Amino acid sequence: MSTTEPAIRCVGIHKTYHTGEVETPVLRGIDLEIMPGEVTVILGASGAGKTTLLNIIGGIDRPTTGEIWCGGENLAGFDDRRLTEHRRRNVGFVFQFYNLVPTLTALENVQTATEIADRPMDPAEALALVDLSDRRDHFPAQLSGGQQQRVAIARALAKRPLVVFCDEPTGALDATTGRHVLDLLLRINEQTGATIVIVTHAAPVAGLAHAVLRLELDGIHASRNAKRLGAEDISW
Amino acid sequence: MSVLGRKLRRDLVAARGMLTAVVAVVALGIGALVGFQATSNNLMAARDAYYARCRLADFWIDLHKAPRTVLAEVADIAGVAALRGRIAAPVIVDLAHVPEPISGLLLSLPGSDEGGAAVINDIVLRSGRPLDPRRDDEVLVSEAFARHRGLAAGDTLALTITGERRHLRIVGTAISAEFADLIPPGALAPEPADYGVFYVGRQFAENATNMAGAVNSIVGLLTPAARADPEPVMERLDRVLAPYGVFATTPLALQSSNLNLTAELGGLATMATTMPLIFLTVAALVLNVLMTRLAAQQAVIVGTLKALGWADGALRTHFVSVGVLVGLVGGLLGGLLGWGLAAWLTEFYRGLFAFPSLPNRFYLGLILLSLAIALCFAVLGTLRGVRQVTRLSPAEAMHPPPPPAGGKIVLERFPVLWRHLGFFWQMALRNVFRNRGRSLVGIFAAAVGTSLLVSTFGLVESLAYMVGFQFDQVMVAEYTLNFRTELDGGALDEARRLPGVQRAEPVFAVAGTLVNANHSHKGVVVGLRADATLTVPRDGDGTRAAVPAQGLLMARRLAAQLGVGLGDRVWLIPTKGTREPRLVPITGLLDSLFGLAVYADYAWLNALVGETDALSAVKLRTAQTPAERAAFLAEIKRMPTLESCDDLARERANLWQNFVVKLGGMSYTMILFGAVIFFGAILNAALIGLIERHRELATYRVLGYRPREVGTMLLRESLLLNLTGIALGLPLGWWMLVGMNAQYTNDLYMIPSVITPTGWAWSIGLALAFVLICQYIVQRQIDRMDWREALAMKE
Repeated sequence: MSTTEPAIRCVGIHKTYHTGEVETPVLRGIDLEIMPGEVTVILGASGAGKTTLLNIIGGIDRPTTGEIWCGGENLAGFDDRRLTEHRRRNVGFVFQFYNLVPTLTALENVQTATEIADRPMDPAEALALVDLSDRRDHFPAQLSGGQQQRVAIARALAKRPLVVFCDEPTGALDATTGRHVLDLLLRINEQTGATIVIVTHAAPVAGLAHAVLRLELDGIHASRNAKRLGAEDISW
Repeated sequence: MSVLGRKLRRDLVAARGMLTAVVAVVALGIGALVGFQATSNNLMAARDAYYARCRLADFWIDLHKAPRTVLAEVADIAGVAALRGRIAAPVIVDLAHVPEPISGLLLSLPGSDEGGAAVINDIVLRSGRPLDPRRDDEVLVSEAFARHRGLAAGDTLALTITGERRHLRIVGTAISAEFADLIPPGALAPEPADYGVFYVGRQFAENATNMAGAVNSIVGLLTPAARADPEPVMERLDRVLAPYGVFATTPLALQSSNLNLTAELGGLATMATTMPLIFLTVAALVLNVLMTRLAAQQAVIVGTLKALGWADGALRTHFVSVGVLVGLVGGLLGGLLGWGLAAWLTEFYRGLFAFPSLPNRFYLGLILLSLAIALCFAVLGTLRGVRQVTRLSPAEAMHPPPPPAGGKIVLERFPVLWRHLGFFWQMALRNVFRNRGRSLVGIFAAAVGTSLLVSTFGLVESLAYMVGFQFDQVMVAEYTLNFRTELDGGALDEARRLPGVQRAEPVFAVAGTLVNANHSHKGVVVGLRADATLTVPRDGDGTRAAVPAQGLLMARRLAAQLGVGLGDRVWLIPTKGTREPRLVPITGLLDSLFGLAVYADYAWLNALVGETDALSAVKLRTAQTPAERAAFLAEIKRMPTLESCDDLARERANLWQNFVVKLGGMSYTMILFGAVIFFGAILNAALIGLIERHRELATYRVLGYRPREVGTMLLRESLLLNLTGIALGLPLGWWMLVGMNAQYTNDLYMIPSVITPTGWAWSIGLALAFVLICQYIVQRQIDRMDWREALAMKE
């Protein structure tokens, strides 16, 4: 085990949804650590609570009980306002359906992140990182799915976050394009040392990670890959 | 209920906020239509009944004095159907507990020998009993005056008639159609407490005014043919009666009371067309936006229903029913609102005009017509959305719509400008330009909303300006003493010696006819001294117009009517005296607001008619202690030559109270109307935007944007649209104001269109306030938005 501080450490996360009289427990006592500079894959079947867990460690939602330590602070105690500030400073997101603003160009979509960040990259530099410099003035409707997802990755990276969370980043893409996106994420991890968390139901993706967290009904199981695969080596 | 019916009900419930806004706009439009039109109908019905009941004359002739025998000659003039000669005389009313002399008009009713035909300009008895023909000490008092002064049958009234004080017994109160709107001579508004009409028997009037066997007022009816074109008959009457000194020949169309009533009806007609048009257009446009959005949102559902075998017709009916429902609910609410508005306006007119009765009737036909109009506009508003729905093929529709295409907007062709805007303004502009149709609807609504505010404030301010102009700039005297006949300079000295008088200036008015070729105008030339400071002729813009030493200073509108210009000459034929025509030059033109004024130099005018120092009125400036004022009023009450005493401060206060303040009160309603337009349109656009961009806004929240920052993004767009709309609404409102004021402009006065910086500021300020209140509501929605949910779903 490394002696460095984890980028994120969760202790005893519980999350229960209340719908009227019905209580639906989704997460039951999750402990985990995300190490800085690593690629972590969170694996789980549909309905296992992957997105709920991602929302909680990403500062989108709060746990019912438990602690989430990030940069010396416990996110569980944050109100909405402080969670917003946390996301603004420390976290980048990549979504399954890209969530780009249709009326903004690729470059401008990246700007939506840089405009509010403390020490952002130049948006053009972020686009160069994802090899989209030549598409900077294209609108989302003029880009392919893979290109749109690369814009979303550039947007997530551009604020130089502590962690980039990717929720099923290849879920809406065909296998080849999906591999390109994963390859890009790995390359960025190597080049910039960005901490990347990928949430997916596709087990083969786990081969790319430094660390793998399997979300099961009885809790979370952590493992590390002695030998990591490249994106071209996997298929799903 | 069919499954589509259930779907409709749920769709409506889901869109209830937006639909309520549209319904409110429709309801106000229909409310305005029903309210103003019903009030107009009420007034017209009351007027027609009243005119018929009183046998209102088709023409009025005021003359110096003519023997009754001439009436037969006049009756023979082709086009004249019937006529009545009567005596009209100014009187001073001396009420024991009122220090001021009050003016009034004495009018004779037919004597017992004139029986038979129904009386022209008859009275309607309101209380008490008619005059007893056997007695000559009885009087009927105009109802409003009696009410304001607490007079009733049995009271004794002291009237000074041609300088002689007489006591009459009040036997009742009455009204007459010729005074539905009773405005004292020289005044601008009714003064019910300070001006009364006193109906007496002919015998009494003849004795009291030294007019035995004579008349000085002729009223008559025209044959139907002559009524269509009264001008030739008027000219013939004028010619036949000229030897008796005709002051004025007035056809019904120009009679003061009728003129004001007609102007009011014209104003109502304008309101009954423009307001509904504005509101229903906005409603249709907003509904259009709402329905196209609903259609887009439900494309997949519609496609699926079609694939399941639902026919286009059923789906069309399904979506059109939204419009039908909005039209029906808005129309019915509007009908109710309109009925209430009509009740309120009719009550207002009951106070303004004297009718025997002015009931607020229920017009079923009008309500049904309004409902039909509401349905038309509402269904029109839904048509585009409905077409979108039914045009889709099932296969097409079931595909989720492609992501909306972005594109460069016009402004981006100017890179220097574009770059300077900054990122967030660029974003806002993109959105505004991308939804071009919707943006135009927003701008349109903001523009008409603003124009309603501007024209409302402008109307109040124009009136305030008019009152201020007349009383603070033109008629700067405190009192005007009007005399029954021309007096000599001794009267001026007498006026100067009245208690507390600082300055007295003579005015010499010569009544006469101004003639140029075949154009003529009966009026008064007012002679002012060169050093006059208490009457200051001014142009409409306030600049002082100097009275030339020779010739006439004439209102530009009158000069145009006569077809003359500066330097031309006109004939002046004085009504009294030798009536010898004089050719006089026009040496000045004036843009006056009131009347068709003609001014001349006092000495020059005197010389022109062979007088020296003759005067017909004295203007006074005073500095009085209360005791001096009491003594002053007591003295002028006793003046035998006094026709009336105008207390200008009181006239000003009356005008202010009755017009400026009342209109100011009514303006709150108009501001409310403006507010509904703003809320109906802006809120709708904002709420639709919120729903459509749910996911986009949720993304911003995940990226770490604070709720306020997300709200500000929408605010920028709202400001771009609404500031543009407001900017366009300002000139639009001004133009509406000018149009409305033109509606009320006639020979008596023109209302200048005036808006002070305060009025502009209020209009802009209120418009902005409405925008910000909408923004507050939108911000609350953003604060409460479940953006985590929005992220999870696929579009």
